[in-house]
Amino acid sequence: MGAEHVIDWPPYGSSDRVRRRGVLAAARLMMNAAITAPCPGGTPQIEGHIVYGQEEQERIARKMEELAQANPKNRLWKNIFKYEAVMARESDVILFLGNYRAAETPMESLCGYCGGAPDCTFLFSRKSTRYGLVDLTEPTESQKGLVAGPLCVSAIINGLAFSVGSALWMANRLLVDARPMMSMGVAGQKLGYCPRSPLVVGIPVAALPKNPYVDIPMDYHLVSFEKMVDSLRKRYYAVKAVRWPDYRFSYPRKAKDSDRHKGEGEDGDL
Amino acid sequence: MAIYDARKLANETIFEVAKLCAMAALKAPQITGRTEIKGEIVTGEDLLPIMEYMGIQGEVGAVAQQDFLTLKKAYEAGTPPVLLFLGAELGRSELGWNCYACGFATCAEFNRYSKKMRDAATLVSTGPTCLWKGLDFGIAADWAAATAWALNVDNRLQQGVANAARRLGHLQGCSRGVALSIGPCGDLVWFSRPALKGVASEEELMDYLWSNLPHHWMGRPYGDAESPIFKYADDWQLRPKRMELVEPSPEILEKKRSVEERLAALIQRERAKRGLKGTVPTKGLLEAEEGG
Repeated sequence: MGAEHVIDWPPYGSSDRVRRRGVLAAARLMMNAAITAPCPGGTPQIEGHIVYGQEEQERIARKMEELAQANPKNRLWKNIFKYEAVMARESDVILFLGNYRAAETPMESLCGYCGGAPDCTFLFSRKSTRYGLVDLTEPTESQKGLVAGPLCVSAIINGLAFSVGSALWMANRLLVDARPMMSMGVAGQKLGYCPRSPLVVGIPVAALPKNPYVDIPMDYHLVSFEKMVDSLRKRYYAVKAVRWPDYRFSYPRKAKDSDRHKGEGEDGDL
Repeated sequence: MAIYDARKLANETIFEVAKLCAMAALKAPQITGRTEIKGEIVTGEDLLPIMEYMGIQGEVGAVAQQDFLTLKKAYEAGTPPVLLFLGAELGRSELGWNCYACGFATCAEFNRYSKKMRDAATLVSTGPTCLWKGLDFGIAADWAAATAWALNVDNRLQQGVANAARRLGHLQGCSRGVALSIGPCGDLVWFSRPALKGVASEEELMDYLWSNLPHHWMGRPYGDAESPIFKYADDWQLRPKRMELVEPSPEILEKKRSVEERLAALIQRERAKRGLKGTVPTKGLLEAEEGG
């Protein structure tokens, strides 16, 4: 028996932590949905991470801000990473989902979706292999990139995408906000989440009065709610520091000839 | 007052379910926000060419065979499934993300290679694929399947059926397709398939297990020239046999050639009906089927 108070303010206060525990429960159910999602041949291939906490989310956000510079001439890329870094901070939980077969043990469907030819040569010829087995311990050119491709498209679409879809569908049913993000996934993968997966999708999850992932102003990383609150914190005390007499024995008088108080009595009563 | 046949109405409603699945696919969240999901809903007599394709391919492939038998059983019972085909063009990237996931350092390189492959494709283009747009496509397909699941209709996402449909002329302008087979109404249709009852003998199924999971039936791994011996019968120790690597037999190669010829003829016929021109190759039509 007991009572739990829930309110979203202040962030990380005891009442807000109760609220976040609910989102964590939702994230665990989303992860279940990701695991049971359809996959080619029922082959196990999905790994995930559930990440939460101010320190962890801050680390992810900073990595995203660093990766914003990965395509320096692409303004939209920068905006995606910078804006979604804000969302990483504002979320309650972040799910990461990856496919651990996409590089090392591809589906070998001979589907041609990786390279266009009806076989798997596009992938295997661009990996280090030994007797047909991919050796990820040997470096390849692509490992310098954001994602160490090429990857098995069947594993990514029929495996990872279905899992991401199911996790999002569960979020939809549980009435928590969630969206799939490349930026968060790439940053998470670089930080070591889903350690066996070359490609990871990040899914921030939140249960807040306003969905943090939609209706995003331009330059959002500069005008986010956190920035607005911080600028208030900066200004408020400076404003408070000047012009105020001792409240214990005085109250400011009304200016003479002011038209603001027409109809009010001497004490300001109407 | 009116009395309705509930089974008949339930199966007729599957078409409405397919529409709701299409809605879900279009509503599904996207990573890129730039992937256009296209779709077709096919049922009734228009399933027949697809079934014919799967039947021919099923002569040399277990996945195609089971999809054919399931479609056939449902069709002959008067309750054909409704197929929702979803597709997208995933071979062009306007993202400029240069992430290397596709195997190319830049999206520009990917687009150049992709155009070359598209121009060279004789039937349908398959790859290469932008993986982030591919993820958008897969999420959409999953939402369609989840919708059917939520509406209590057995369903299955299938690659082989979609490949067949694309070759027959469906989903033009898409580099990737997937089929969501919805219904008929029943506890299990597409999983633990009742349609497979009596299809394969015990010996055929053991052959299937042995050839796909040989390690489970192998004897000790070291020793003399007969090692490792294979547990193919209860008296395997008295009549030892071992596995060997062999070339595909001429009989199997001939069977595959015959299948490819008949598939090519079917594709040519059906594409002609849709006004699609071009020569259909007879080789390369048999790709390994992907599980549904």
